[in-house]
Amino acid sequence: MNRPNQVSIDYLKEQAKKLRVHTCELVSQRGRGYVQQGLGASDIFSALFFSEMNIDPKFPDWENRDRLIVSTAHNSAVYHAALHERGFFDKETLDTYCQDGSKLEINITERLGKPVEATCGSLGQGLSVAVGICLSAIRNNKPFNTYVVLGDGELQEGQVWEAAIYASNMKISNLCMIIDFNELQVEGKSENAIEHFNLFERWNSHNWNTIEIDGNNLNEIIDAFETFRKEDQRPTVIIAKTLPGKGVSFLEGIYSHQMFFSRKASQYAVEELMNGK
Amino acid sequence: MENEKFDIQKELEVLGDFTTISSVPQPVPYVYGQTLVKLMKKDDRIVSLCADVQWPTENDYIKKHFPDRYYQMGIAEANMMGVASGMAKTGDIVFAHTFSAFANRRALDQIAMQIAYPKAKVIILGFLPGIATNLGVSHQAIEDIACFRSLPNMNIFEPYHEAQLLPVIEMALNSSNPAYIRMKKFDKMYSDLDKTIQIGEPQILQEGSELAIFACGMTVDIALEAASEINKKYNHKISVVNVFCLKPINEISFTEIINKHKHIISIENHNVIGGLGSILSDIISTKGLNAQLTKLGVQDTFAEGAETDYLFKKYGISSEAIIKIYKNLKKK
Repeated sequence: MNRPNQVSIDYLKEQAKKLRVHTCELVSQRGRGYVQQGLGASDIFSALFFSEMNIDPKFPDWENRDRLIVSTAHNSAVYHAALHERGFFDKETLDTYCQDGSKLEINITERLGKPVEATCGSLGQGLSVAVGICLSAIRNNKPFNTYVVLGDGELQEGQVWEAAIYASNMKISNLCMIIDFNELQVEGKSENAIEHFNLFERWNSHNWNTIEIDGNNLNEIIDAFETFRKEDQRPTVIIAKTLPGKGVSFLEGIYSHQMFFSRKASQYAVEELMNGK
Repeated sequence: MENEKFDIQKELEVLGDFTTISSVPQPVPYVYGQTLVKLMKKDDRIVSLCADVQWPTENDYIKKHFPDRYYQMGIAEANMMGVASGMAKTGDIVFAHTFSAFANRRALDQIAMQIAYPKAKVIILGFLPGIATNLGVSHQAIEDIACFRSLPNMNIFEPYHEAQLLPVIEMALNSSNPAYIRMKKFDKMYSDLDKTIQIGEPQILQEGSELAIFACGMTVDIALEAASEINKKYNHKISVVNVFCLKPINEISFTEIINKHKHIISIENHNVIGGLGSILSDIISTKGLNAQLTKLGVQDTFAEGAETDYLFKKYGISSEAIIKIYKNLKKK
């Protein structure tokens, strides 16, 4: 199966830039939030929403839509920005992000309706739900794929490994997990918290189709998705190394989980994003 | 005797069911298994998930009839609840099987986030209710009603008689909410169905005066036994109410029953905190009812592994305990 949207890498880069701008503006409206994670994951979300996923914003609950579960539900600024840019809702709605009463909560919630497929935020749960969706799709002969984004920090949750073992046992090749490997968790860089040992080998040994890429390189992201599409036996995991704050020189490499981020900082960041370095 | 061959396989098949309420092995009539298979024949959407407990949850029967719709989930309850949600969201109706203790203690977060909050079409079957297992604290669920009752959107049922099993499951299926069914294994197949029960409504099993006993699940028979004893010894007919539906609750119906009595006894195979007794005490206090409530059940303590009869007696879940209270009430 070919990817549904044949678009150029330049186009995807352009979309990623828009997501970064929105992320900065949305987080700065509240003054604090997940700006670093959003900037780091913008390329992944650009690839998913504008190239990879078969979705229709006019029919968000279309039965055969590709599913996306964002298990890192706090990475909501970039996710909601992607929904807006893909045409699921207008800018006015996007700007309600994190306001009291808004359906665009800081943890992505099903209150928003489709295409939100599950409410995560309690970390480590998204993969299990994705596995269930895949099983049901296979059982009912539904042709769609299911994508799930996990943070590397989430891999510390035991449930992920329950799901990992189970998914490969069930041979669900319609499942594509992207590990947003930003090495960022609440207490900072993961090597100062809980280190990952041999992540590639760990997934590979669970009989997953394991791919390791630079998650800020759109060529590599698209190639990884192509490899996923060719796989017909195993679930796929894309370990995508991303850089917190990617795209803004003064934010890159700052490992801050819920960072304070002023409007002024946002203005500088947006200016840099728009004009290039 | 000489002709009779000892068939170890046959013996093991019977002994395989070692985690039933009694440790004395008994042939399994598959009351639950047959019921679910009946429903699966009618509705293709139903699938069964089971966390490595197919024999104690009668899923061996389901697997035999519907091997493609039976999912061995491994010893991984948290994952099972997430998978159940994903399947339900994609159009299946999921029956998820484990022991009560593992459903509520190990997977409560997953049930809250992935099943209760999005109202996924999942029916959770918790076997080994309360302290009715000799496997001890690890397998005893004395807080499951309390946990699930405080989760929004959850229905909770505990059928007391095999004739209520199918009606209860149908109630769960017809509701827009997910459900938790506290399951005791029944030892004989039903021939009739109890069609009198309704969701949210208490079932009055016998009507009397002054004292009403509210019971659920395995304690209903205990309440009936006590009532019959009191009738025999003191020529006094008391009321017995079966609360097979612990959520939702029609408070008006409960209030009507409570108002006809001076004394209320709740008896439950559960901690007295957060279960049936607490449901009644909520109603009595918030409605300002004039009734004295005595809560029987596990008195906020962990039990131990032993036979159910022994444990029920030791922890005061018994007709003797009810009769003792009755005698004290008469003295006043």
